[in-house]
Amino acid sequence: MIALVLAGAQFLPGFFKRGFENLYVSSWYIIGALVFTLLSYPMGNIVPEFVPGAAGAAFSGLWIHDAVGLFVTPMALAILYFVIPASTGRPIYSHFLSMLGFWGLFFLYPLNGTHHYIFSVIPMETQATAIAASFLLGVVVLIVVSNLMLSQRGAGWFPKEISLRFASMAVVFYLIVSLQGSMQANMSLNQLTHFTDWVIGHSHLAMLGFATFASIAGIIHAWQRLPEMPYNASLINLSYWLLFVGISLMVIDLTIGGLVQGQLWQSGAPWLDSVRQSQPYWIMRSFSAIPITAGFILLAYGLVSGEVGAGNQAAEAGLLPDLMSGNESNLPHTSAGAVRLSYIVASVAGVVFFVFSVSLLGLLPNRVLQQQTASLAPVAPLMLTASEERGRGLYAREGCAYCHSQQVRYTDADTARFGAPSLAWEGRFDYPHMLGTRRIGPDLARAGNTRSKQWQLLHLYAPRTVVPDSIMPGYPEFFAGSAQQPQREALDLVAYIETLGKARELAWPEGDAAGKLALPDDLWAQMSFDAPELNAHPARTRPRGGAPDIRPINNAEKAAVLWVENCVSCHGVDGKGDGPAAEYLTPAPINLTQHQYRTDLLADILWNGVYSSSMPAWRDHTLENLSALMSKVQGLSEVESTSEPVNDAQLQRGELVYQSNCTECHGSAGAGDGFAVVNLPLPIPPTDFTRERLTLDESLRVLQNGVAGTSMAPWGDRLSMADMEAVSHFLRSLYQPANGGEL
Amino acid sequence: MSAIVVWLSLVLGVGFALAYFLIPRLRREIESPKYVFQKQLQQYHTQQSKQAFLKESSNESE
Repeated sequence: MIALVLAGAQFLPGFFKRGFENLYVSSWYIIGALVFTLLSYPMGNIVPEFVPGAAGAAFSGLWIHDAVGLFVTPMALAILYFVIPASTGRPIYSHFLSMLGFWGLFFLYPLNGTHHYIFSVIPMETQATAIAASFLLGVVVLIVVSNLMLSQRGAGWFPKEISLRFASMAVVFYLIVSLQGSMQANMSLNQLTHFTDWVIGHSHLAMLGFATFASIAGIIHAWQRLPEMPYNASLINLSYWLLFVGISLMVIDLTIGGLVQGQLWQSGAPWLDSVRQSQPYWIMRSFSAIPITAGFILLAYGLVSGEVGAGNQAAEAGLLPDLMSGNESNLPHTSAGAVRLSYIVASVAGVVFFVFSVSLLGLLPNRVLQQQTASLAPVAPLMLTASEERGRGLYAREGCAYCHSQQVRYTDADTARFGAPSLAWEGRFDYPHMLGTRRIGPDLARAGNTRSKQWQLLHLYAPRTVVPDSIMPGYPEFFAGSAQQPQREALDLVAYIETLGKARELAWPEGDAAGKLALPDDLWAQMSFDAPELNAHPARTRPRGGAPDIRPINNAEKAAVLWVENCVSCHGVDGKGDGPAAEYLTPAPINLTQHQYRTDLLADILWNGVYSSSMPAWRDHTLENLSALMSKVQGLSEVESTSEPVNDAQLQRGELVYQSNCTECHGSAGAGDGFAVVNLPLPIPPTDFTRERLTLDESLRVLQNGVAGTSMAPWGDRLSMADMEAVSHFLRSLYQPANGGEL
Repeated sequence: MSAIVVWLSLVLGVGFALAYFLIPRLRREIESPKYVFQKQLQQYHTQQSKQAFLKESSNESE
C-alpha cells in the first residue's frame, strides 16, 4: 500500500498538470496499475476476512495474481516502453501493438487468479476460465514482447548501451516467465509442479528477473542523464553479468528441483525423501545469492563512483540512427472532445473488466461453494474452542502456511497421500482461509488425530529430535525450557493442529454417505466421497490388521540408512529405546534388544504403527524398505540368546498367576484379546504374548513398574518376586513361532 | 464461462485491429503518441544540453 501511495504521489500530479492528450503507452500502464491495484487490493486483503475457506481463496487468488500482474508488471512495462525508445533514440515499433497488449493484459490478467487453486474445491468452471485466460495471456505477452523486441531493432541481440541491455534482458525474462505461467496453468503440468520449487523459480524470474532488470534499466537510464553524477561503466557492466548469472542459476536450479519434488510426490515416496532430494538444489540456490548480492552491490557502487559525466557519454554512444525524420506528419490534431470520449470509454471498459473478473472468479464460485456447503455440512457446527482459536492465530502469525498447505487437492497423488480431497464445508469457519500455495512440509488438512500430542509437542519444540532430516524451525520460545514444559502457545498451536480434518472425521462415514446422495451431480464432491480413505496419512496409526505380507530380507546397507533416518531418534542407535526423543515420549520407545517379534506382528506394527502411541506407521515406505527394516529389528533382539531354563512347577505357578491377574486384558491364551480390551482408558493394545516375547529381565521390569502411558499397571506391590518370575516364564512359553520356528 | 472469455478476447482484439487498419485517422491517432513522446524526449535533451552549456560558460567566465 505504501508503494501504491508513493507511486500515486509520483505520477498523478504529473498527469493532471500535463493533461491526457496523446497519452503514451507507459502512461497508460501507470494509470492502469494505480487504478487496478486500488480496486483489487481489498479482494485479497479484506474480503477473505469475511468470506471463509475456499470461497475466500477465490478472492485472494485474484489478489495473488493481480499484485504481480496489475502492479509490478505494468510498472515494469511502463519503464521498458520508456527506456527502449529513449535509449535508442527511436520511437517504439508500434503503438497499436502496445495498446493491444495493454488492453489484453488488463482484460485477461484479472481472470488468471484462480489458476493458483487448480484442482482445489473451487468449481471446475471457474478453474477452466482461469486456465483459458492464462493461455490467452500468453498470446498477449507474445504481442507485447514482439513489439518491444522490434523496437530494439538495429541495437543487436546484445545491446552495447547498458540500460538498453538490462531492458532487453528484462524483455527476454518477461517472455520466459509469462509462457511458463501459461504452461503452469495446464492441468497436467500443474499436477506435477504446483506447490514445488518450480513455482518459486517462476516467481523469482518474474520479480528478480523481469521486474528488477526493468527497474535497473530505468534507474541507469535516469542516472546517466543526471548532471554532475559519477558513473562507472565497468562496474555496472560487471553487475549486469553477476545478476544475470545469479538469477539464471537460481531459476534453473529451482525449476529442476521443483520437477524432482513433483515427481517424488507423485510417486508416493516418503515426504522426507523430497526434502532430502531437495537439499542440493537449496544449497545451489543459496550459492546463487552470492553473484546476485555482489551484482547489486557493484551496481550501487558503480552509480556513485567513476567519472562525472561518463554516464551521459555512455548514453549518447547507444543512440541509433534517427528514424523520426519525415514522420512529423503522423502527429494529428486530436480534438478535446475526442480525447474526453476515448478516456470515458477506456475508464468504463476498465471498470467493466474488473467487475467481470470479480464476478467470474469471486462471486460465482462463492455462490456455488455456499450451495455445496449448505448441502453437505453437518447440522451441528464444530466450532473452535478459545485455545484452538488462539492456536489458529499462532499458525497464521508464525507463517506455517508458507510451508504447509491445508487443502487436499483433487488429484490421485494427493488422495493417495493425504486422503479424501477437501470439501468446501470443511473450511466454512476459516476466516481467512489457510489453503496455502507451497508445500515444503506436508499438507495439514487432515493432520488432526494423526500423531500423538506428545509427538506434536516434541516436534514443535525440537523437530529434528523426532524427524532427523526435518528442516522445520523449532519453536522453543513456546516452552519453558523443555518439551515437557509447554507454555500456552505450544498447547494452543497443537490444539489447533488437532482440529484439522476433525469435523469431517467426526461426521464420517455417515456424513459422507449422506453427502454422496445429497449431491449426485457434483462430480468434484463425488470424487472426494469415493476416496478410499478419509485420512490416508502414511504415519497415522491404525488398529491391528490389514498389513501386507512383509518378510525380513537382509539388506544391511539399506537397513542401516533407514534405521538412522527413521528409527534412531526414538529407539536409539543400538535399538535400546534410548534415542534423543525417548525421554519425552510416553509410553517410552521399546527397547528392541529385549523384545522378540514374530514376523506377522512386526509387519503389522510397521504397517499400522502402534495405535494411539507415538510409534507411527510407515506405510509410505516400499515393502522392500520395510523388509530390510524388519530384518534389522529382528537382528537386534537378544531374547533368544538370553533364554533361561525353566521347570514345570514354575510354569504351573506362572499360569495360575496369569489366570488370576492378566487374562482380562491379555486374554486367556495371551493373545492380547481379553474382554476388557475394548474398555481400556488408553486404547494401546495389550501385548500379544503369542507373537511377542520379552527377555526375563524386561518382563520383570515391566511387571514391577508397569508401562507408563498404557493401561499396564505396576504389579510389584501385589505380586511376590517369585510370582513375577513364574509368570514371566509362563508368558515366554506362550510365544508361538510361526511355521515351526520362523521368527 | 471460459468460452465467454475466449470469444470476448477474440472479438475485442479483432475489433480493435480491424478499426486500426480500416480507419486511417484512428491509425494516425493511435500511433501519434510514440512520435510525440520521442519529440518531447529530444526537446528535453536539447534543453538539458543548452543549460549545461550555459552553466559551463558561466563557470569559465568566472
